[in-house]
Amino acid sequence: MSVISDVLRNQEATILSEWIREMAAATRRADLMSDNDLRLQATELLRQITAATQNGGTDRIDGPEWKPVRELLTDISASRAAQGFSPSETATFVFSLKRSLIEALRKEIKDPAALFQEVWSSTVVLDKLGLYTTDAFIKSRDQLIARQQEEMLELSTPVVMLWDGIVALPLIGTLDSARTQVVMESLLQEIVRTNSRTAIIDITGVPTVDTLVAQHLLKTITAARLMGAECIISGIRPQIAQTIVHLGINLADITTKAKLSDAFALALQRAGRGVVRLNGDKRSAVKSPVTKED
Amino acid sequence: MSPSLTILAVDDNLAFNYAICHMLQQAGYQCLNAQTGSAAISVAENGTPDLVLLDINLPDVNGFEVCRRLKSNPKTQNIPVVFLSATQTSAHAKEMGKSVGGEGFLFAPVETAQLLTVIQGALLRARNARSA
Amino acid sequence: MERIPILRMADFLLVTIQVDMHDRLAMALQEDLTTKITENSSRGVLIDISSLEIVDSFIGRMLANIASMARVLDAQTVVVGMQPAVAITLVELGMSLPGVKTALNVELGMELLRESLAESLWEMGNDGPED
Repeated sequence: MSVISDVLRNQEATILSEWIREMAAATRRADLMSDNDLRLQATELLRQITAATQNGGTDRIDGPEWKPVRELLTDISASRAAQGFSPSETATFVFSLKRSLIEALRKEIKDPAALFQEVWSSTVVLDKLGLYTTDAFIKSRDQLIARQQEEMLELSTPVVMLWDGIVALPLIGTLDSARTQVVMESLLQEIVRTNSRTAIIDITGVPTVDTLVAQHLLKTITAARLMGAECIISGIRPQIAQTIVHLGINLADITTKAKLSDAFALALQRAGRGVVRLNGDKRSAVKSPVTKED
Repeated sequence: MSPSLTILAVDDNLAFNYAICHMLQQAGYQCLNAQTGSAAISVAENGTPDLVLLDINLPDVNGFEVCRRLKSNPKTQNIPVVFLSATQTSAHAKEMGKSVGGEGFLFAPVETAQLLTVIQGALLRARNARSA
Repeated sequence: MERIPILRMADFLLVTIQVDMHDRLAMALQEDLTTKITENSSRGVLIDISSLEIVDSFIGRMLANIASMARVLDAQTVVVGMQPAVAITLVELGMSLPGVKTALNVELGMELLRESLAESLWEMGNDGPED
């Protein structure tokens, strides 16, 4: 272990230049990173690995002595991902240190048994470090996906006001508990803000209704009621009507309509409003100022 | 009945809790809320609400178990528990609720008036039991 | 495969059950009815069972299901031409078909539908304008 760190320190310059040379054109990606930047990155990593092998040995890389290396690898993984390197290209960057390190060990260690031992240790530790960059890549990718999903959630739950006191919530996509929370919040906020008495929840865009989705819907309806708005569910497709009955889902005293327009008409009726045709045809409207006033 | 009674509403859905509390406040109650079973138990111990409104599908431990624990804890055993669930709506669930010591069981969606009536009933019975 | 025809009569749909029902036929009828109710925005469904002399729990369940599905789509179901023996059997089977109105024949059934629709309109309009 300290043999490796001694070798790393003594032959640092050689190891470094051999390492950089080792990165063949294919993995070098000169299009993504300049020679200078590459040299800086390699130098820094080598220094940190040297210090870590000295203080922490090569058995494990999860101890506090290896922390600076882990942090550096996380940074490298992130910055390379941002630059467009694939995760295996980044891992290869680390793996390619093997050859120059092993060469350096071969020069210093004469005893074959000892040499084999050190070669094996360095292979194991560099493998671990290379795989660490892959793990870091996956972790940050997962975080990005989670963030994007959150943003999509925000976007896909608009509540629209159809008329004075009537709001509509067109639901698009599957309803899970995370989504239901966001949806409910938007709906309740709008109900309060617009002082609405009727909320139309349109489920045309909800692909399947199972017992879980139904429960989320029922919770949403309950919450809206508690805030003083009655709910009408619209957009019930024939298939959904069958599923609801077959699953034994009880929509007891909840008004349901197949079409959003029907739900809207009902909401208007409940509010004591209606839609009327403006009287007269266009011709007489134009004529009357002339004929009457003369 | 004095309007400063406190109700602890327990549901893992924040927005739903908000709606319940909003309605309860309009009806003159004070409202506490919790989103997990363990939070509910600790709030009940420290805040001593006058009634607990309990959902059954909670993330850590289900509502029936929460009720059982509340009833076996001398600090909280006299607080009436009313179940409000959109998920467990069978007769069997109602039986369960009763067997763990619940005072009421409501299925969502529920009318505001109905919810308030059940709450008031449970509070009255609890008060009578205390003075008995 | 044979399918039970569904007739359109003004705002309503009329289905006549004459043959022995089996699983697939019942399923097809449920699919066709829910589709037609949606397509036509029908507010009522008349199911004519005057040719049925005996019913079993299968038919009873089918009628109940149809009524529930129609209700979800905001349509009222009226069962027409139920013979006394059939009515007794349904009661004995414990199938009271809650929420399903009955009438002696199609004409009376349609009247019943019109009345109940007018009633619900009246109830809704009762709130009245605020001004």
